[in-house]
Amino acid sequence: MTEKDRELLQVLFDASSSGRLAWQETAKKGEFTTSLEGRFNAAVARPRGDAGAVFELRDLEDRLLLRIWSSDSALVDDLYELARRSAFHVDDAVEDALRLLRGP
Amino acid sequence: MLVRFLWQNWGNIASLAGLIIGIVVLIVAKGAKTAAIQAREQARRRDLTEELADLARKMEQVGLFAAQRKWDIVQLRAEESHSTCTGAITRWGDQLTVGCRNKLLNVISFTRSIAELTYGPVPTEVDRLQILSTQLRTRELVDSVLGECHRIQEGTQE
Repeated sequence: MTEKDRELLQVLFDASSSGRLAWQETAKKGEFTTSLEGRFNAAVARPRGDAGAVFELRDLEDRLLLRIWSSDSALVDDLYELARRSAFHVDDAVEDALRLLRGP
Repeated sequence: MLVRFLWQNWGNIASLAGLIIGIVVLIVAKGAKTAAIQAREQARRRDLTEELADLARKMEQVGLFAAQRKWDIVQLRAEESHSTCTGAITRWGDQLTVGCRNKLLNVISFTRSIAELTYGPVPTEVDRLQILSTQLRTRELVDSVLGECHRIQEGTQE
């Protein structure tokens, strides 16, 4: 894993946490994807029966360019959590739940 | 007097006439070239539109066969959709907006994930519901890009 790979993960993490990058769940449970500027596809997943998360970057032809496991960078786990929250609109749900619980 | 003027200046008059004809030919040729380029662009876009319409049909079949649990056909259609979309984005990517390319990139991810779910053991009921939901979202994305292509096509035809 190179410094640039680490930087990419950090930039994706920042963009996801600020809401600039929206993630969506694929047909596979626990796999989330987003497209980057119409050029690349990024995906994070927790493969079944595996505790760790994995990050993948693919190009327009869907060729796998990069794969980073959470054992190589803790940022992959953090990015997975952010992607899951984005795909399921967790922040909106929490806000709704709080509003309901606090009453009118 | 006019005849004498024409007789004495026929060379200049011929040059002027030649120049005017040359300019007219240049304008007509430029117009024809622009029309040819526009026609070619329209044809390319029509090809893309047909390809996307085919993709939409295939995705419809993915839903239909997933509902009937015919996993071999689901796999085939998902793989076909994946390769159609990958081909479309690499071939016509330069004609699409970033937004459209983003949508097609999501379609590529979704169709791959549907196909991959059918490679292993028989998909569970949870998998089937995931496939159906992903297929619906894929159709929406394809329809949205298709709509944009139609709009651009109509815009260039006007």
